[in-house]
Amino acid sequence: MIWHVAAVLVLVLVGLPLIVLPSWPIGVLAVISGALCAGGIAALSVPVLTAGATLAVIEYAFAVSIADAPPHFLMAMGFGVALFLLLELVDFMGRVRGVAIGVPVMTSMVRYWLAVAGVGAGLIVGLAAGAAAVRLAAPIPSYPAAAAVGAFGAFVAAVGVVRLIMKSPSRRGRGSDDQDAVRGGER
Amino acid sequence: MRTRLTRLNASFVTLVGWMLFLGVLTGRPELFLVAAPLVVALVAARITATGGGYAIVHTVSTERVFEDDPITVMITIRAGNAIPLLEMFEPLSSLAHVADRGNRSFFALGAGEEIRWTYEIRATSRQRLRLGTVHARMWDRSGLLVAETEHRDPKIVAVYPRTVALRRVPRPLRTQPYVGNYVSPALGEGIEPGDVRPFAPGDRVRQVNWRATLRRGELYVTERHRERNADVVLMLDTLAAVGPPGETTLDIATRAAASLASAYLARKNRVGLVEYGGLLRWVKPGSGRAHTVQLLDALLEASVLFTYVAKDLNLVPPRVLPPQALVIALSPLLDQRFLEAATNLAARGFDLVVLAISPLSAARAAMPASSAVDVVARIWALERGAWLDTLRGQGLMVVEWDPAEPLEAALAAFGRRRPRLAIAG
Repeated sequence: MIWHVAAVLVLVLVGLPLIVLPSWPIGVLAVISGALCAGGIAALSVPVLTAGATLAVIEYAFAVSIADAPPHFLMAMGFGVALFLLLELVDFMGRVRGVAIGVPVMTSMVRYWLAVAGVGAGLIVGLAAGAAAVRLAAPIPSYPAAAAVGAFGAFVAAVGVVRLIMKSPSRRGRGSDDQDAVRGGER
Repeated sequence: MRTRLTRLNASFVTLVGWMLFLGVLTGRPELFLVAAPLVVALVAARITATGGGYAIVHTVSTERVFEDDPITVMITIRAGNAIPLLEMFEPLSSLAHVADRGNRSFFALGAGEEIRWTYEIRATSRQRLRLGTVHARMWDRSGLLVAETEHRDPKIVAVYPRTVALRRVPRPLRTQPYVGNYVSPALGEGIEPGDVRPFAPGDRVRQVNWRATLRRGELYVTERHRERNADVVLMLDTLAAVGPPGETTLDIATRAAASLASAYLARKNRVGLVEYGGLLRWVKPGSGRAHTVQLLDALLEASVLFTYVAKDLNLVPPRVLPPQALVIALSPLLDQRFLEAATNLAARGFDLVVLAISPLSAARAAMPASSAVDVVARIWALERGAWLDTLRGQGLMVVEWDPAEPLEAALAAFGRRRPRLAIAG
């Protein structure tokens, strides 16, 4: 079952750019990307899968930039969600390889993935809607100012994300050590 | 507990970087949007990360088992806070394997929830099995962060060599003064009828042989043989061993020694052990349950310690190696020094039997199969057979045992060559 889901996600990932621009160069990229993704799934290797996914992103970038069609936000949402789910799924399968997983664990994981995918999809819809509103509401001369605000917002968001990621994990570690001490006393 | 970012985290960051780069390069908004689910996951992982505290209690069903007996490990985990995904793993010795369920598992625990994780292991070879080191990984749900720690609650399980029930064991030539199962030539109280002699003052009426009395016209009594025990000393060769780990000739010898010790102790004999190798170690003859455990503990520790020095059995005190004892030497006869020591004992009048454990199957198991190995094994078997015949010709009682065959079949060969009645000690 889980393998079928992974296969469908790979098909979505490499197939969406082909829908955007059905051409042989994109097809070649799709085949290579699909093969790498399939290899990553077969070996349950996140690095190989990441290579395949990166190629799929490049394929998607080529497709949308060559096609030069109006932005299709639903397709972007599908691509982003499929990419997230595929990486999470393969990483989880690799972690639990050879171990029987209980229903509560699986249920909890699926619930989490769907929640993050839902929030991500919602964010895409919100951003797209916001962009459309700005485009309709703001006068053309205010576009540079809007771009500056957007760039500043992106910068702040990037700094925030980097700080969150790079935040020293030692504080959490110390907290857990304290819990270990409690555990030791209970034995 | 040490928290670190996972490979998946690096993968997410790489992909987000590519998307932003390509988005800027192509000027297409879709590429910024496809990054949204990954960014949400990265942010959510950091925001929702909590150090879920938990306590574990590790218990083992037994402290002493025989090889291949099941050992049940039970780990109780009680969560303080909710733990999205907890991975537990208890590494095992290479000479033990999981028999039921697994030594690695995943759990999702709610706040205050307690779960019991049990699994069964079996040790395939004698050892002091060390348990109680549990590695724990606390994953956040996304798999982007992991906290690792190690719980140590050391437990040692003594895995003794497995024994087989032996119906027949080599009979000792000499007995001891204590009551046992062997018919002694000495006359006295017993069950086995001996000589018939004229009645003498002090004889009991129930000893009167009425048939002889009626025939001869005067009182005759039947004398009986005493049932006595014997001292048995198992002499283990720890000078050399061949074979794969857990199935070396020494492991096989310890199993045979444990079986013989159990069989002799069940027959009310006293059993001792002499480990002849790099170190000369012994357990003096004794009987009883505590002594059985002492012998098994000694067999558990038996190991090959290489030395160029040949140990002198004269160093062994007489109370450990009594002159009247039956000495059973268990050896693959790979080292000439053991054979010299055994021959020395036989020359000193000890009742000695040598159980020569064939090293062929153990040696072949440690080597890749090939026609050359087959030929070498056949030549070795022929040479060894001829050499053992020479030893038998010199008066040494040697029986070769192929571990693939039952031990009792090899021991039966001793029974055919030994007298039924023991010599009084």
